[in-house]
Amino acid sequence: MKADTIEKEWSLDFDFSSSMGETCTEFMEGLKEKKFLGNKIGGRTFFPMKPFCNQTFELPTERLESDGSGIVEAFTVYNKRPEGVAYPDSEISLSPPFIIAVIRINDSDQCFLHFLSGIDPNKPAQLLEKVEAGLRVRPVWAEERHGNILDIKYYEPIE
Amino acid sequence: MARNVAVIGVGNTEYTSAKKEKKGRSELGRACVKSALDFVGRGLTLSDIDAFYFASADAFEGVQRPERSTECFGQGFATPVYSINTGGTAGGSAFKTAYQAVAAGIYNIVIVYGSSSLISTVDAQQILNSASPPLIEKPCGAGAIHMGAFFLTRYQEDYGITAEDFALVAAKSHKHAAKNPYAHVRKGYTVDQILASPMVVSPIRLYEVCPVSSGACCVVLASESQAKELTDTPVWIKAVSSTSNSFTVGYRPFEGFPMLRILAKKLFEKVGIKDPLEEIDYAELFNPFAGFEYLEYEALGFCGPGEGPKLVREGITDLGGKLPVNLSGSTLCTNSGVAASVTRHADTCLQLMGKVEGERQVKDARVGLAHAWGGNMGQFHTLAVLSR
Amino acid sequence: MKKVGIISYGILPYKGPHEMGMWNDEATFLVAKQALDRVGLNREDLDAVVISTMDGLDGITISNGLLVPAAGAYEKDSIRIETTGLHCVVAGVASILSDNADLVMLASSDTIETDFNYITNANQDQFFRGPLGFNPFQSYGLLAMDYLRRSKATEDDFASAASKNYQCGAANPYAHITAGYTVDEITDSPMVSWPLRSLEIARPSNGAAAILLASEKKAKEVIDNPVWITGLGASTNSYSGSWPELCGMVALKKAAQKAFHAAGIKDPKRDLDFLEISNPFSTFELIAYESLGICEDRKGAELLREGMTSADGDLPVNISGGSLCAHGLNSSGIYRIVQAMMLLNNERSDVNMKHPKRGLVHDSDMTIGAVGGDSHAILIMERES
Repeated sequence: MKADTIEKEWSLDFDFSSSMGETCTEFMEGLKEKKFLGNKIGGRTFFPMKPFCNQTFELPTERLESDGSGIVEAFTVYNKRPEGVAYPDSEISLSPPFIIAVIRINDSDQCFLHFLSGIDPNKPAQLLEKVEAGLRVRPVWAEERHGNILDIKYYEPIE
Repeated sequence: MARNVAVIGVGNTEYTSAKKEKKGRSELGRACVKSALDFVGRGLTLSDIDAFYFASADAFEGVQRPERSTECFGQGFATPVYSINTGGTAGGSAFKTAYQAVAAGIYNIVIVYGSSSLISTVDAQQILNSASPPLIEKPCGAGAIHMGAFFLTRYQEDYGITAEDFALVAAKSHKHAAKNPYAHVRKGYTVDQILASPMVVSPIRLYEVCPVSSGACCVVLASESQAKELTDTPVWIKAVSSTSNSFTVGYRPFEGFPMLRILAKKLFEKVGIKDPLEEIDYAELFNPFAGFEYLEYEALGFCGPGEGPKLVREGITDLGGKLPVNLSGSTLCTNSGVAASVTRHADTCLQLMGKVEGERQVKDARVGLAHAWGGNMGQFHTLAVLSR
Repeated sequence: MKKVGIISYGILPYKGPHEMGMWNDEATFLVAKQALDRVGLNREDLDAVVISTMDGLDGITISNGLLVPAAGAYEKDSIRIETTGLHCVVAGVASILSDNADLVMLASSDTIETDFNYITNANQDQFFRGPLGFNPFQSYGLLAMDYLRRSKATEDDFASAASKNYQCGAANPYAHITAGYTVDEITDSPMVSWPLRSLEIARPSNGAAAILLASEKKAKEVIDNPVWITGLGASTNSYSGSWPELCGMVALKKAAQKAFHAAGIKDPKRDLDFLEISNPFSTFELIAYESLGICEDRKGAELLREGMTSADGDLPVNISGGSLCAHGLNSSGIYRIVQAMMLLNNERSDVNMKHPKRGLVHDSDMTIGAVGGDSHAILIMERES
């Protein structure tokens, strides 16, 4: 039942620009060189790098490097193209259905999200079994890297 | 019975041009919150904070609900974070609801955080226009600067206020900001320099308008028993409230700030202030446009209508005068978005605590007033009465 | 906790987008007026107004400018809180118990259709998750997958939980979705974010709701036997963390602990008569059973199968139909409180529950994204017999 009134449509379009901050910048610069940077804060390890501990406010004591590989802890399979991306970086190269995975990189104390390819997205029950058995994955790098998270196109299983 | 609540600490970050800010949101936040925790000292840590009140306006930030991914608000301890958005007055609103929560016994120690809302905006005027009533007034393209112009043009017409009057009160802020390590614009512009600066929207000149700054500000509030353990200089919150005007503005005569007058009357009655000029020792009033300071003097009852300039010419609202106002340089010299509405409270508290740097300390300041203004055409005012 | 009463409410029936025929100020006005009229009060009697909305969902900046006057705030104190409707209740309670108000209006409305994907992606961080197009549906999928993995629940259990909500919603005159979907219809609906199908995820609804909070003294003056707020708790999840931290419902558990402590609830299963939880996806109900302590870890599906949480069970959950049947992105909290009021007032003649005395209301901003950064709040409402 549509009421008998005039519908107004509008769009708000503003421009924004902001510094990513020092730590994030360092991390993204690392991606350009195919390095997945992490750091140590107060005895805990974080990949990606984190600017400070959100409990103690301690600053990082050590910069760490890795190849970005890790283990899948959770996933979902999404059936649509991502629409309305508010902060786009490079083009997303995957088509639906695609897998979004929660990955623990290099024993990090925090997890990381990215796409997962090279696995049949139409067989999620199988993927669940693989995850339960321990699924190791590694980043597939974009040919041209610009210093953003999509310098990693997606992750793929390490056979 | 409501509990007594005090401001026990203040946190600031370095204030600079929004375009020059290098720190990300979380990094700025950590610096500001840490600065407040360090200000209090005595072993106060992040885990002692029962709640955070985050004040900002999403549209300025370009991020919906920015505090969700800003990781310095105790979320590592699952501390509740309240997201307060009433536009430019959000700092005043957050201060109010935080105070009420502690007074009510819901929390013991909380932090009110004013976000550095403008670090991502490219054109703030564009965004402010989107706050206008969409169907009728927004298409006229009015932005923030026009809000200032409407009020000040009317003020000039009604009372014969001169360009020099506006420049005088602007110069007062600039003079003191030059000595405030936490101000953004520290050029100390003189009356002549201000009068020579280009007209932006008449009657407002460039040095009579606030900059676009970066920097965050926060204050720590505590219940009486906690305050007594954590500080020797508690600043007691005597009363805080806010008022709202209607939303559409086309019909308004823009004669000063009548809503602020009504709000002040209510609050002064509540705390027993009969003669504000005599009984208030310090005030931080919201002046994104220098001339607003006059409208605020008059609405708050410091002087009669049209008499604002007299208070400045006679030095009454300057350092050494009867009621110093805006010795921080106020919003005119530092406008980091919603943070500016928290800074009014922070700077008033610093005066009452006796902890002001740069030779701007008022002697024996015991009763202070912190004001914020905002919303479309200044729809909202908040006011807080503080005392030692 | 000293007592604050909820003495009245206003509500417009919830509908689909484009069906309200009005802007959100008009909707807000209508429910605020209803709430006042119901108990013979006027705008002049109000001391403060609290609006529960988010700018991004209202399509204008500083939307409280439009909305607070519509709820009665002209020349009065007001505030707008974006977190959840229950966070607004905390503010209203604070206002009253700090002796700054005797009567507070809380209102919220959803009449604008926004680009949901865009707005919700916009609250993800800008550098790591945002650019991937991460949205609430995917976040719900992750949580549902995790629950499948660690409990004995099946996808059929999820569909059953959803169906239970839809059956309840079919009987609720204020709900948006009254189709009463069956388990088969749900499992036939297209997969959105595995393992969640489209009928397992709440669709945005339009509608409006308001409640009036009063100090104990004022409440007793205005009505007999008011509903009291006896427990409140709020908490916020960390945006980043280990996976167990991000899916562990830390904030939900902490909020519940605080509310239970304030209300003197030691055994929620025994001490509560009903629950109204904001469940934007089917699995969340099962997760909530555990996090709220009404069953042991991993036993959520068992509890559902036992029937205890159905409309005629011992502890009905979501008699209103939950978020699957009415999902106001701004107003879910206030809406849910109104649904709970109707139960405590015995206004739902079709409902079997006999004279409930004490209910729990939950709200969360998972609506705009889960898996980090989301806030939860719990409210305990009760009435003396």
